[in-house]
Amino acid sequence: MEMSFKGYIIKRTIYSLVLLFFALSLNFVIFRLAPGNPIQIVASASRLEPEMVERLIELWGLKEPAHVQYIRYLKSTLTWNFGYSYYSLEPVSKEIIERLPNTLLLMGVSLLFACLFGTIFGIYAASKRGSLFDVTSVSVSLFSYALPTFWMGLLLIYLLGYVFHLFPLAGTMSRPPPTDPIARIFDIGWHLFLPALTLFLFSYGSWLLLMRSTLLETLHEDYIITARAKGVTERGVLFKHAFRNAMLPLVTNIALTIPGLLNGAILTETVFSWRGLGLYTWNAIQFNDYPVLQALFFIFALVTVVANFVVDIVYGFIDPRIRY
Amino acid sequence: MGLQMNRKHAIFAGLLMVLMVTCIWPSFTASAEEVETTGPWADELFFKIYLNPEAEYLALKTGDINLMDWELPAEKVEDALADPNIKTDSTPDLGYYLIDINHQRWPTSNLHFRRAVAHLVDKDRIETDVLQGFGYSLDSPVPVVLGSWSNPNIRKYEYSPEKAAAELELGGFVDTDGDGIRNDPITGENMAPVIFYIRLDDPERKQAGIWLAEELEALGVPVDDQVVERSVCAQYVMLDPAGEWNLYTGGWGLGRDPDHLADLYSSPNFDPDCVGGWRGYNYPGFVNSTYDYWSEIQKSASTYEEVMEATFKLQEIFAEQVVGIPLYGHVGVKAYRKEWTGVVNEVGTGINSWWSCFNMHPVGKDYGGKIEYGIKSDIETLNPMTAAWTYTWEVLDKIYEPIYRVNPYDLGEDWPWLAESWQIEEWTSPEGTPGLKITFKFVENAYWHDGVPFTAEDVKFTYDYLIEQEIPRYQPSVQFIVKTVLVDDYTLEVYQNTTSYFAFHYINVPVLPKHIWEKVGDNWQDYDPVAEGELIGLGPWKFVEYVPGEYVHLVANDAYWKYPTIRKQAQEISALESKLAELEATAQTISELEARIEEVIAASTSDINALESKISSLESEISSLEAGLSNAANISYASIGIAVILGVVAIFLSRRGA
Repeated sequence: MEMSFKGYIIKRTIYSLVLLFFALSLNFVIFRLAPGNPIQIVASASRLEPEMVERLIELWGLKEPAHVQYIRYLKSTLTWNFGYSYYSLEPVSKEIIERLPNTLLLMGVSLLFACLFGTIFGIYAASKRGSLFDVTSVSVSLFSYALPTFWMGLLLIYLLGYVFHLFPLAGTMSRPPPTDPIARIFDIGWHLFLPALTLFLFSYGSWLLLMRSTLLETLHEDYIITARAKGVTERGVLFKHAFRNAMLPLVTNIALTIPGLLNGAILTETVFSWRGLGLYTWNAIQFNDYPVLQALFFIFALVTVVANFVVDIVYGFIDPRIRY
Repeated sequence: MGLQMNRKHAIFAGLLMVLMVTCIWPSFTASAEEVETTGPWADELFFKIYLNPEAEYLALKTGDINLMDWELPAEKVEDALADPNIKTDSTPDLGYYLIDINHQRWPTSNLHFRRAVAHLVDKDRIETDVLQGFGYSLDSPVPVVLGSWSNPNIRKYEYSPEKAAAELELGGFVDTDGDGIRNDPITGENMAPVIFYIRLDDPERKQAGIWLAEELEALGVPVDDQVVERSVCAQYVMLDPAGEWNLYTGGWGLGRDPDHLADLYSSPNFDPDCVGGWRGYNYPGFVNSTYDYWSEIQKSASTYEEVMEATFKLQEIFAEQVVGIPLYGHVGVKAYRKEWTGVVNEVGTGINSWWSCFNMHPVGKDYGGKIEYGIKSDIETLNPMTAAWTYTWEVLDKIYEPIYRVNPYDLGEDWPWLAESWQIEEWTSPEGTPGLKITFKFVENAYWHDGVPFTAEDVKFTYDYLIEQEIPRYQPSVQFIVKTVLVDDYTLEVYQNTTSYFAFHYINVPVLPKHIWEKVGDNWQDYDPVAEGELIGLGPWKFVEYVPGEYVHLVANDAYWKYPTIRKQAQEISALESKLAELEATAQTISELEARIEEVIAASTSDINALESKISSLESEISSLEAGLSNAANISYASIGIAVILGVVAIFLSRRGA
């Protein structure tokens, strides 16, 4: 199995690299086919003279043949040099790094709690199928999932921020923030609560429903009946037998969700003035900021490919049935 | 946004009209005396970044901020007017919205057709139903906010479908076959649909466009209306050499000068082949030699009168030829907290003007306080060479100083500032090009934030640097500068190869500190003045801190060359009081020391006395002892003597007895 597993890893690696190259190329083509032109946007916004517009076109290499631009793009992307934003004229990598921690914090915390609570409630709902808890939790999940995030966010700001003065209205920290490091951590947590709650309310339902439906399927398997017949407690049946098998789709879902950590949540970030990658992406789309978009999409593609690759490997460990 | 007029809306719109008139009219009549030209009067200026206007408005209501940048939408204005803690003020924006017309494509290339379209725009309806008091209709592309530049005597096109129909008939667009669609006078066939790009992202323009399309359809003109996003509109209207469009809901932001008439509609700025990447500012493709002539005059004339004449002529031609159909200018209502005074409602900007931050202070106090100013976007960079975003300059223009300032209530009036005076003379370059020589005399009491004195050399350096480094943002400002000559430490001559009246306005750039930027050299794009600790200006506010996405913190520059006398005096008094307190503290210390010394002396004296008496008693004791010893000695001697005598006697007696 060791040999075939190694072979599998090599095969998956090659496959991932090919996929990544394809994503890179598609990334390049998409933005050049999109309508709009960054030069025109900058020129008309700044009332630049035609000579200066010409100079910008040269500076940004927009007049070079497509294949020259493509090779330059590949070289710079693979060396993690994403160039300068057309919009801010700042290094793209610097701008991404500035925003990345905020996005990881917001998305990571909300994902963690959504996954945790969704899973726990999903398990309980499945074990108490048809009960009041089951019906209520499914209904609430669907309801909160259906609500627009920006609306939920605004409502939370209005009620908990403005009416009851419990939480701040915007930002990732107080302005100015406390100087004491412990107080600062609490301050960030206080500011994080509402946006994370908004995303949690939006997303925990999907985890709950996934866990519930997977577990319900698993609980009807023969080996579960056998376990019960052998006198295994219900708790043991749930966690030692059923959950282990129901976990597999959960792991897949985590892999699919991880790239979303970097997408950020455009609406939530805007509503709560949370400086992250989501809003950065949206602004870049609006202004046809090619270097930024290419960098972000490359990173998303990279993380997606790597996450899937890791999940495939992890599967082999958690599911002994899987052979290569 | 309810576009159906009801009674409540009518009353509200009426109230807003009154608000507009009472707020805008004083803007045009207020004198310079009402603006304090010394400052700043607050101690700190905090820019708080809110990416969400709802949160920013709530922050104003709770007092987290006391000044907003963002114009209130209609539904918020009512709430703000009712809030006793909030004050509002309105101002017309520096901009205008219009229907752009493609002069290079049939049928909009036909004058009668264009006039017909102009007669189908119901501006009154737009004003009441769409703008609902937040705007005013326009007949000229020079809105009234630009003051006397606006020509009131141009041809106007009242809303009249009958007149529109008459114009169409004059143009030959008649429904000859009676099928309800007018026929093309050239082909005789039914007219091809008029392609109309309507901006989806702006509800006001969208509605105006939709109504116009309906009016055209009602008159038998087929319309292919494309209600799409800005970027899609731009692709077809501005970037495509094919120019397959007829009408577009356009709009422009303006500067203080009406030179946009020449920039936007003269034929040199039309690039039909998109060589420069787009069709140029004159993407409607209006080509008219008379218009070009007056554009040239406007851009090159050196006197106000000549420029005024050209500007008026351009507006007349614009109206006669229906170059575009001006729709409306926008009026914004902005809000601030009632606990503050000194707010200046600058024309075209509003209450969140540079002057407001310069003048504001708490009610009931002469000065002090912390201005907390909400802005709706993060700033991108604090490098003045690369900063292009409006909100970045909200910060930078508090730190850097321009050469002169503009009267906030009259954009046509320049006020001396760093340049306390200037003289403009005609000049001819060695190549024979007529130009202008501007001699600036600068103030002598200004200092950079790091204490280095400001001189004319800084201004010379600034111009030379911007020219040599070809910094894109400043090219329009320095494009006509041929050379700069330093006359003395505070006098500079600037030579330009243009006679344009506006050229003086172009060169009003933020002045850079030579002693810092000469080290930056050609590394200006990567240079980060914040990281280097060199965000140094001459302005009334000094940079303290910037946290991206959160806030920018500035403090009042108490060494500012226009710092208020009363504050300087208060500073001096405060310094003296501190000194006095120090002296008092020192004096108190001295008294305490003296008292202590007295105590010590007293204690020492009593100790000395005690010692002395001790010494006396010891001396007595010693004397007694000495006396005792002496007696003892005498007794001893006597005893010894007696012993000797007795011994001798004993010996004698013993010898005798033997």
